Amino acid sequence: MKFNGGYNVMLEGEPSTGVAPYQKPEALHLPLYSDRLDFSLLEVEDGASVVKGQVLARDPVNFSVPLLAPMAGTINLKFAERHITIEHLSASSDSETAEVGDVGDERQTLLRLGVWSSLARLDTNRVPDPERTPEALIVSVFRFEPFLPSPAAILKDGAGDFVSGLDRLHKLFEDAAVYLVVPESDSELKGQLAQAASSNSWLNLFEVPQTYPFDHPAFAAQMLKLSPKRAWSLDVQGVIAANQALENNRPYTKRMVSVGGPQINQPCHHHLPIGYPLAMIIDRQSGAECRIVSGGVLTGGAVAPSQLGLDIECQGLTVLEELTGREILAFVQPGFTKQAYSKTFASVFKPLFKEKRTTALGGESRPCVFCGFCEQACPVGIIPHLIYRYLDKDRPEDAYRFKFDKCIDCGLCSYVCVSKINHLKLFRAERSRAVTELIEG
Amino acid sequence: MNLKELFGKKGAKTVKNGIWREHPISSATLGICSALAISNKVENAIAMSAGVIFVLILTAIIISLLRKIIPSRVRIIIYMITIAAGVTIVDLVLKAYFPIISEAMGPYVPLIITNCIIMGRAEAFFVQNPTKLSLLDALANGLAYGYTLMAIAIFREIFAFGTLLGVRVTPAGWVDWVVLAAPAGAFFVLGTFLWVTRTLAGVEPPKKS
Amino acid sequence: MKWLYNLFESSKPHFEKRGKLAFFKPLFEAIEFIFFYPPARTVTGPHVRDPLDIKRYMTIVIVALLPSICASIYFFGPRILLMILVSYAVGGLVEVLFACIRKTEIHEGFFVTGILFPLILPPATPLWVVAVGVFFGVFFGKEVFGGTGHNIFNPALVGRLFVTIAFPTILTTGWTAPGAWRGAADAVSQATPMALAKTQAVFTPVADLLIGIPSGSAGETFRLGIIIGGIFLMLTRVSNWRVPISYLASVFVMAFVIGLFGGIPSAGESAAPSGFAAAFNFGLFNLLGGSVLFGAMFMACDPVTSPFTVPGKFIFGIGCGVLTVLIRVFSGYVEGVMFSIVIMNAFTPLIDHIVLSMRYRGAEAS
Ligand code: SF4
Ligand code: SF4
Repeated sequence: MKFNGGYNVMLEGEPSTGVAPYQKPEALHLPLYSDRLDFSLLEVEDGASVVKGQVLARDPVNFSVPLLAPMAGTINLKFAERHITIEHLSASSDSETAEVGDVGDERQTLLRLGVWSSLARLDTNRVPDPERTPEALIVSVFRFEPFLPSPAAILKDGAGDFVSGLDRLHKLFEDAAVYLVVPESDSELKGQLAQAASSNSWLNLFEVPQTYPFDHPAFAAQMLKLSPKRAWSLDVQGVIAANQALENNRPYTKRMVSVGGPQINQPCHHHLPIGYPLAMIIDRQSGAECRIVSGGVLTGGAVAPSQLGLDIECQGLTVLEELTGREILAFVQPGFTKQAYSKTFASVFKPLFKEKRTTALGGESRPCVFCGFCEQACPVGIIPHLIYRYLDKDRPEDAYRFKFDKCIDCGLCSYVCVSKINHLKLFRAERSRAVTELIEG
Repeated sequence: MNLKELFGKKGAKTVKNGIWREHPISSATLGICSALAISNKVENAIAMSAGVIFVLILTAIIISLLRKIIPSRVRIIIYMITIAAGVTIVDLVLKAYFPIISEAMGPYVPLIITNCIIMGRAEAFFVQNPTKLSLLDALANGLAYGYTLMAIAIFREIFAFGTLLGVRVTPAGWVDWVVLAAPAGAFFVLGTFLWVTRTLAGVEPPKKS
Repeated sequence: MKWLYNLFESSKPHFEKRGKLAFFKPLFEAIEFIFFYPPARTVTGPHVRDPLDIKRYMTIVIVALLPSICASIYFFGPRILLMILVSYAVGGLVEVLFACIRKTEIHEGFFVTGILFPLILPPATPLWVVAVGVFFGVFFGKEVFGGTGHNIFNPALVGRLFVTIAFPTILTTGWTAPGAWRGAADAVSQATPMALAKTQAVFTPVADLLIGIPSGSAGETFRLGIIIGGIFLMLTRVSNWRVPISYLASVFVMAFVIGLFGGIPSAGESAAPSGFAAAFNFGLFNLLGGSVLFGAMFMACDPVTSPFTVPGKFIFGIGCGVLTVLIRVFSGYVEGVMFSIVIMNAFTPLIDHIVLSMRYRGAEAS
């Protein structure tokens, strides 16, 4: 994981690009919630039998995006709270598919087949309005955070689907420009994409340094000087799913997730249906107390113990060991085993090595000492400690004066902070407050 | 001693407020200039507080007696005249009987006129209250001013000159803290005094909205 | 270490809310966390954190000071150790008291103040003056502002300034000659190089300055060690190179320019030396003499009291340098490092404000 300011930390447990063999589950547990969505409107009853692709529930706030049944089976609503459990899964998974019927235009098709909820507005990160059209669509074809699914693994045999999916989306969105965020270095995949781009004028490659978080679509939009209000983002899988939905009417219920982290035996990718039992994929090394993080270790959220299956927006799972031991006199130890942003650990004399990280906070919370590390690490060039101070004093207007709106919530400032201040938490709280205000006001 | 028995309910409250709760220096930050300037030696502090107490009492009596007939438009001028009269008396008395102290205090005696405590109490209290209460208020505020000045002066004199009322009290080998003789030192002492008394009395700083 | 751990665990209940010693909880926690890393975990993202914490951050400064500390003990004898001890004891007491009353943790910033303060005092300073100074520095320089991170002035400098003004006779006379305690020097006391230069136009040779032959404040004489420590600090990124470098550069340039225009002090009737070489030497002497190096490497770059904006850091450093030379050459004082840093400390918020408002000027208009 390379950061701004000459920072390079290697963490153990990066998922390999290989895809693990699929094991058929006993039952699926579909959480009725995810990071952005909340499926509060149930459309099935307890005990009903469903077919693949049938709508189980909808999110009334976000344009009724559906939660689809990934496999045929019988519904059990009582198994776990806020989950739909599908039991007695039919033997052949692709036997029958729910009738989609005539749902009108292509946008409705995407909505109905569960692809629309992969889109995000860049300014608020919410699901965009199907009635609206973006000026630009940004698709990040690389991940610099090592714990998220690698597009290389996804595109291994889906590159054709990917390019034609882009084409369809471009037409669907009335000639919106499409930007692909790719790293500076050369690769075979990039060559293919460049070829596609040279024959289509609407398709642009945007090259970024191989540093986290340059893969962030909002960051790319900033550098491209696109208005975040009129730009949407979509991940690679979403593009492929869009193509398959529009071409074959195939519902988007299976996705590639990465499973990694220092605690996993064989970190790799899995191609799994939504609701797949978490217990079956997390193959731990030891019985140590662990935390499962959905998404990257910097920006992801911890998975609650009550969540049983993969949620609809999950991209990857990272398993970290919870800190239990207490180091003795840690601040005077030379530190051959720890990598840090500052060169205060003896590990600077060693070649780069992979490090096993736990959830250790790494010290005590203190007032900011203006060391400036957060400012050096921040990719968008704002001053996190200044903004933190204003937000902490409840003066958001001053925070925005110092360009808080440029922040992309990458979490680097909190990562490097000497005083263990959690900027990210406060920044996210402020952003959700602002979004709520925007919607209600 | 029971204040209530002595002064009645209202009187007791006035005295308490003046001496502690609404201490003119620590809670209202009035009379700071002279507290900073005249607190380097105890004898100066005594003379200064005596002068201020005298002028306060005089003003209290005159203003509270006249409070019904002073037109509110010219009341400030009336205060000034009263105070000026008192200050002149003090100044002349000092010059006549304590020329050394008078010399040491320099322009600060005539400047009692601008001491905000007197003006402030006149405006806030004497002009609205009967003579007896005003008298108590004047006494209480004067005492509060006096003991503050005294406390600061004792501290400063001991540390800055090694003496108390001119008598050497420090052991041999004592090194004077020159900084405390200068007004800068007075700032530190007064600042700490304000901090401690405000915390003890539970004075909240004015809230910014 | 198991027994120590058990000891901490068993005495913990006394310091909890209802315990007998609840008032001293900050002290207990501070001691416990010095020995055993706090068990704190991350709660929300980022779930992993950089391992550098404030304790290590501050420790690095002390490590960088080690050459100076060792040299000062070598030159001025074990009484330097006593001074450090007194400084830590008294300053620590103030810090602990405040933490206990305010019910906050004990902050580590004091580790640095406690060691810096004795090092910028004349080596013969009486111990009670050390105590008074560090008390004042920590109390008025830091705690009244709200503790580490909120202070405007460098606490060690505030303490030094206070004792300088309060006890001018003690603090400006009686500079011990290095090595005098072992009988390695002929005279017990010796004027500092800056005083020699100002009053007698005697310029101590550069080599002598570097290895610490002339007298000076306890920690500032062995300049080679300061340079090594300072570079170590910059390399570890604990101090930002911008402040010290711009400070030192501007001292040199300023002294050089003054030297070119005949501002070099001269002895008696003889004409002031002039010319390029003399100006260069004057610049070099100003760079190495006095406490410029120590001030630039360890005091001016204190991140809390210097600007946090990048251009601000340069402005701060240059301001310090220019003021230092101006005070040295044109004022009655022989040394201006302390004053210049404190003066610039006072300007820090203003510098930051101006830099920020220029950087974000367009933002407000749109
Ligand atoms: S402020 Fe922090 S979270 Fe926001 S972009 Fe900068 S480093 Fe990332
Ligand atoms: S990294 Fe933390 S301590 Fe350093 S300036 Fe930023 S907020 Fe302050």
